[in-house]
Amino acid sequence: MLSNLSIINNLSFESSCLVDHPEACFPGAPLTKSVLEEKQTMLNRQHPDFWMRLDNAAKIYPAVQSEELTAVFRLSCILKDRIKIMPLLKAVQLIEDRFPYYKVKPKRGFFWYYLEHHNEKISVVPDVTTPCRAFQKGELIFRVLVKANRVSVEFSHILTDGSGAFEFLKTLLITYFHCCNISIPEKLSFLSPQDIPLQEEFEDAYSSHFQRNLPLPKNTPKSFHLPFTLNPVPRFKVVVAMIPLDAVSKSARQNDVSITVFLVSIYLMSLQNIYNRLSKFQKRKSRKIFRIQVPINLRKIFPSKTMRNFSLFVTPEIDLRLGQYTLEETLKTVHHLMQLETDKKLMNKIISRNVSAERNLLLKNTPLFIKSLILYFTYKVAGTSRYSGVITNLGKVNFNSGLDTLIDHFVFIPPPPNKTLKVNCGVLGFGNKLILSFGNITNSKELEREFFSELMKLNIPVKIMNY
Amino acid sequence: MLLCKTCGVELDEGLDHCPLCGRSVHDDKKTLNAPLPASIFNKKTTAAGELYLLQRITWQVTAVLLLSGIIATLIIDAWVHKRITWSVFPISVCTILLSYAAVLALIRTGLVLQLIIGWIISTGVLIGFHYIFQDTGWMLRLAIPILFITNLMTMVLIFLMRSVGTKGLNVFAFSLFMIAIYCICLEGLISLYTRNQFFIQWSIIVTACLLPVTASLLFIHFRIKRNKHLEKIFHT
Repeated sequence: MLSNLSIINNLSFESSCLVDHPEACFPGAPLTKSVLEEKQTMLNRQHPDFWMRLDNAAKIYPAVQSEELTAVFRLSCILKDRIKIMPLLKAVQLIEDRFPYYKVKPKRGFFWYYLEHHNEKISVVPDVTTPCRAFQKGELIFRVLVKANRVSVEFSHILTDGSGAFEFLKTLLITYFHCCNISIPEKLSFLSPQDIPLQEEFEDAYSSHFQRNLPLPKNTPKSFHLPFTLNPVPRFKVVVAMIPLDAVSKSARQNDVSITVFLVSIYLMSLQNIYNRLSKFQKRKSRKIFRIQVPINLRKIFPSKTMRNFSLFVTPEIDLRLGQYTLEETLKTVHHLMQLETDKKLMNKIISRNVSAERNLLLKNTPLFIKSLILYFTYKVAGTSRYSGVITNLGKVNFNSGLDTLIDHFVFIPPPPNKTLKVNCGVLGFGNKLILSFGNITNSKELEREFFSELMKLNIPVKIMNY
Repeated sequence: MLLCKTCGVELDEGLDHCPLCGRSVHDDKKTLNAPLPASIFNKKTTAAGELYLLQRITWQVTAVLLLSGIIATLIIDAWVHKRITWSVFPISVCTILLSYAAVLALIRTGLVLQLIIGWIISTGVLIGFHYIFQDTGWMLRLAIPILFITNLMTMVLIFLMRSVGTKGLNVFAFSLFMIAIYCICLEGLISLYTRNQFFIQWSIIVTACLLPVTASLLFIHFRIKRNKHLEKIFHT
């Protein structure tokens, strides 16, 4: 068990704290003032000033993040009707204490950064500027943004990954609907604002599932990178496109692959097309391995209820030194590589390598300012040089209730890519809409064009959306 | 249905302003491009404006007082000695203070840059006085190095203050530490001027007294800070 959980262990959360108040059960009855006050008192008594170590995935971000490389991602829900602002503010107020592990600020320790609890109000702001902008020093590192019929949440990756953030957004939406006097089905599974956070939600799941003395995964060679010129600051621009889920699903099914495998293959084909159009000199200069980083939600592989980061990557690839790939060959390669790499034992090996590095006696006892320099230069030199692109597929959202009729679609915007990667892609489905968002820091939209052309060649219509 | 023209959200009946952006619901299209009203966005701007006004008033009062001091000492010295003698000291000090006050009040830039500009002007003033009043060389060999060290120490202190998140006893600790260093530099510079060698004596005693106090203050600061334990600072 983690040593940092020693603090949290002392909190002794009691999930039965509201047993005496059955009338306040959510949904169905309003949260009464007395219940909220009691809950607040209990939370304050139990963890007035807790702190947490950064989880394994978060440790790199404080050292490398900047105004451009913000490590902030966004999840948006576009409703069919305009947001009613007073119920939304009420909903935010109601969920204030449900996610104490998010109400933290990164602080510098002597050896590592850590997260210190600050019971400040969640920031709700108009959504009028660039998405995924950096958090300023002293701010909580997540925010809620509102515009017209769109409610968004932005989280720093220091706090959590897409799955954790989505649970927060889900709770916010359901509480909002509740505040709008819309009845919430009783069987709906979500983190109710009335529940006391579980101890497992705080945990660093990487450390929990760490196994000592596993062999190291093999190193991978560097890969192809897009040759485009960077935008002037601010660089980050987003293109959002909608494709019918049934059409993608049909194409994927025809090839016996998942939607993620299908989209990764399309991405690889687009990169191959871009490579083929390069001049002879550029081709000679470029690397011939095309590798895509695909984040995997480890909660589906390892039992965990953590609300912090718990994902790793698989990296399907094609190697153009072996010749040109057709879509069928790419689909087959990606499918088998992903099947292989998502194996629990292989995931254990990667967790073991990552956590071992942070537990290295020399590294962990190095003062933070030196450690930050090492992490910064390691990231600069090796960081994303092994990948040509990133596709994050958060899957398909389904509330399985009447609430689905109130929502038009969801959008996931991944964090701004770095100067090596240049473009990344987020995918999120709802109903029959699969929303792709390309975050791009270059002055070229060639990759997006190639990607959409490849889809249209397969008779999958693409609609660019005004986000 | 009431809509906010900035955020596009639906507002409850009876709301005059959007609780998100602060814009009045009665704003017409013509005023949409106008700056947002006093709200969560421009509170800082308003506060900065008030601060600037306060700085200007303080500068005007300070300038009147310092100029009066310069003129008074100049007249008295010239009247009594028929030439400029001792008044060169208060005149130099007042002119340096005047230049810093002017820079801090009138130039709207970062504090460190203001200090650098103030130091350049003051150094220029001292060099100018050196040639005008033909002093014994203390301006060049003593005043200018002390001025440089004072600026440098102040800037280091500002950097330290800004780099710490929680300000408490650590502010006093840093200040005492900088005073100790400053005393060593000051005594060294004076000894260089008077004896032509770097010699420190009393400043070592000052430093020896201040360093344990500094360490104690830092220790207390980290002990009483929020959760009263040092593990979070020093965890590995």
